[in-house]
Amino acid sequence: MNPIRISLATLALACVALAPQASPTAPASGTASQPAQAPAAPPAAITPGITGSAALQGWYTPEISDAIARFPEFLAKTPPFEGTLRIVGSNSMASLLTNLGRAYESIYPGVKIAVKAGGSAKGIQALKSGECDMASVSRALTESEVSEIETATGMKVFQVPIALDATCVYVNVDNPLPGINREQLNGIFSITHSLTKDPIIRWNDLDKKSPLGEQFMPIYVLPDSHGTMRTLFDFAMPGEQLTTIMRFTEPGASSVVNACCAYPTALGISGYSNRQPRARAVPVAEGAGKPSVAPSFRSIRDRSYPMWRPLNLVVLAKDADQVPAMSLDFLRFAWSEAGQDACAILGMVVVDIDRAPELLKDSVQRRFTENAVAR
Amino acid sequence: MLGLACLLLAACGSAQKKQTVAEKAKLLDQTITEKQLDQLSNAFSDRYFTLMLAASEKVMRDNPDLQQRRIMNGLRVLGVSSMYDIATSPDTVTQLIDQLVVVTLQNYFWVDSGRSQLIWGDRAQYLVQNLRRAREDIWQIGERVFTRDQLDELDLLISNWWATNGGTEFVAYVRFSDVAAGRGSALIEEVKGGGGLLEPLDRATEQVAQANFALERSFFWAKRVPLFAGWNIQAITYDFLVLPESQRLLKNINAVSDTTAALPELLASKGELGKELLTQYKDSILATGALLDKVAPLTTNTQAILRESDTAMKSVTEALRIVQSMQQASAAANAGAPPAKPVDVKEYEALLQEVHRNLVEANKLLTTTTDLTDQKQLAERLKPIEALIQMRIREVQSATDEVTGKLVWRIAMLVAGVLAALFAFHLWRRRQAS
Repeated sequence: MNPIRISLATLALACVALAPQASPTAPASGTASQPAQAPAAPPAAITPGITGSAALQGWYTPEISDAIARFPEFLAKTPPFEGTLRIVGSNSMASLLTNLGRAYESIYPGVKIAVKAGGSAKGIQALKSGECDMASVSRALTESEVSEIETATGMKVFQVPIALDATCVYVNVDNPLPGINREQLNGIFSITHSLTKDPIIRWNDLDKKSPLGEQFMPIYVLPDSHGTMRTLFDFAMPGEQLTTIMRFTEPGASSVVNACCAYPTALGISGYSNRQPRARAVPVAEGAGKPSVAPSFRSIRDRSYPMWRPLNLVVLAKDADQVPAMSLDFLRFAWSEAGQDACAILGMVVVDIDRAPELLKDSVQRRFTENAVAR
Repeated sequence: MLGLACLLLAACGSAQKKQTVAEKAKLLDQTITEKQLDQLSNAFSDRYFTLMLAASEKVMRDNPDLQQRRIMNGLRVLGVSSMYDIATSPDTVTQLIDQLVVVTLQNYFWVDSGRSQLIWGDRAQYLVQNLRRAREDIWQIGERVFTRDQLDELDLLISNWWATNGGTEFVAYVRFSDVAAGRGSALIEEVKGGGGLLEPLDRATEQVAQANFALERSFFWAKRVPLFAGWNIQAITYDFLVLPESQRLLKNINAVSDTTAALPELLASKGELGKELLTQYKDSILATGALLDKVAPLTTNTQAILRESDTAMKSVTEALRIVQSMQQASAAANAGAPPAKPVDVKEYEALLQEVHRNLVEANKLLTTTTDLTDQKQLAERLKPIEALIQMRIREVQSATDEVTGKLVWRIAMLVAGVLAALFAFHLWRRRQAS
């Protein structure tokens, strides 16, 4: 029962007329401060196989389109694969993998990509116990984690980044905060604030010139176990606990950014892919006196932004040439033009073709040759 | 003996493994029943209504910009009606999840994108902060039903849908089934089966529980229907006022008013001047006709809406009858059981009938306005026009300012002018006849 729609048809027209022309969300891509060109319409879905449809339709900035276009076209195997590929792990990567999986399934109708979220730690556990074929981990595994898995399973660990993301510090777009450094992040987020004398709880503690003056700085964060938070902890407060002062733990990454959009005094921690026009991701410096780097497609991709993180798929095998065929083919798909398109459309940063992992180096090169022959 | 102990331990271990999230939560007294969830969902709808009302009043009060007031009114009508639409839908878990989706998407559209500031400037802060509060509230309710991982997944599903459908204006009518496709039903079933913090539903009694919920939802909605009739009329008024034709007509009304002011002098002189006067009156009648031509399509829309409400009322009444017969059957089956407090169906029926009567009255009024093209009974025609215009003016007046004040004055002058002209015309004809 909806009695209202009829009479308000013209409201939509008014909204369209008054609404900002640029898309407000992730596909706008580029940098947080650099609005993307308004696309005609978003692609309905990723066209399976061969090339990236969104890239072709001019959905991205030229920089992103060029980066995607450098990836090889995907050539499906014949006879086609059949069966289920089970991936368990990172919550942040669940939708990305579902999107990627859907595109892959449409190439091989007999394949099902079963994605289960639950956190990177659960993914590692499931991989060790053989409950999944791949683990999705939204950070690089530590050396000790790798050796522990290899000891427990007697197999080698292969980590393949399929996209990049970054932990960003968000403020309201009207907040002129020029940048933030490692020590300041420590003072804001650590309960023990080992790098600063006093905790930073007001805006003029952080920036003497801040127009917000003595107002408190409510901080919006994600649960500790979230990959986004882990990156912050590793960067600014290793071994320290998160503060409890003025802290609001949000139920999702987009909610953190939303708080920064709505509240002028808010400061939040969320992923780069969650950026929105009314929130600004501030530049971050490695330390006091060092240059600040703003998170952007380029700075995350070339790793100059300090809090970048890889979104990895982890697979186990006795050796590189013994990685299960379908798992390897799925990784190759992720490293194809269509695969990177499926990542980029969700606001993730595409990986650098020149930094292909050892496991895929040969196949990426070979695909270029095969495609050249096919053309 | 030792073997038996091992067997018992193993059995305990396996039982432990099969324990659902909801069962574990129950041990910690963290679970929530379906009934509680239904109440939370209804309470949230009312809370959302309050937040939107407060924000819209602040944005609209003393706001001279008709477009700004109109968009705000449209937003609150769409948002609140959608929220009640969800709260009265059949499935409790789907209700919550749909409310989560709508409020989150509204935040994307109106808060995160900066559209509010673009439309309302500094006044936008009221809406922005209240929409954010609504989001905080509904996600807090979500935390009582879903696990952290499920919430995280929901957040990602919504944000990914938004990433590829960001241009959608009518976010109030997006539902979880649109956002999550196949995964949506799987998640809902997972929660219902104990995979969240909701107590697993007892399938045997679920149907009876759903019938009771349906009854309560019907009452919940019926009580709020008159509010929407009022808001909707206001929306139509705004739609009408912003039409370029309406704006032109309002300017013409000034001319009619001027003529009316000069009326006594003109009547004093007869002959050719009298004829000229008559022509002017005819012009004013034509102007009124033009006004009515524009009103007619709008009233047709309203009639369609009212007819829809009428149908809804009938279906609610029908639902009441079904529930009543179910109760009678249940009472017959449990003849020996101690009497339970029955639901007083008649009380609600009376309420529904009252709502229905109001709608029928409104419908009659609007029907009358569509017959206004008849040129023979002008005086009779003016009465319902005046009533209709006054009704709309009252709606606008309650929310607006001096612009509306001018409008009232102009329309009142039009009505007075036409009545005076009629009188003069009558007088002139009598003199001509004599």
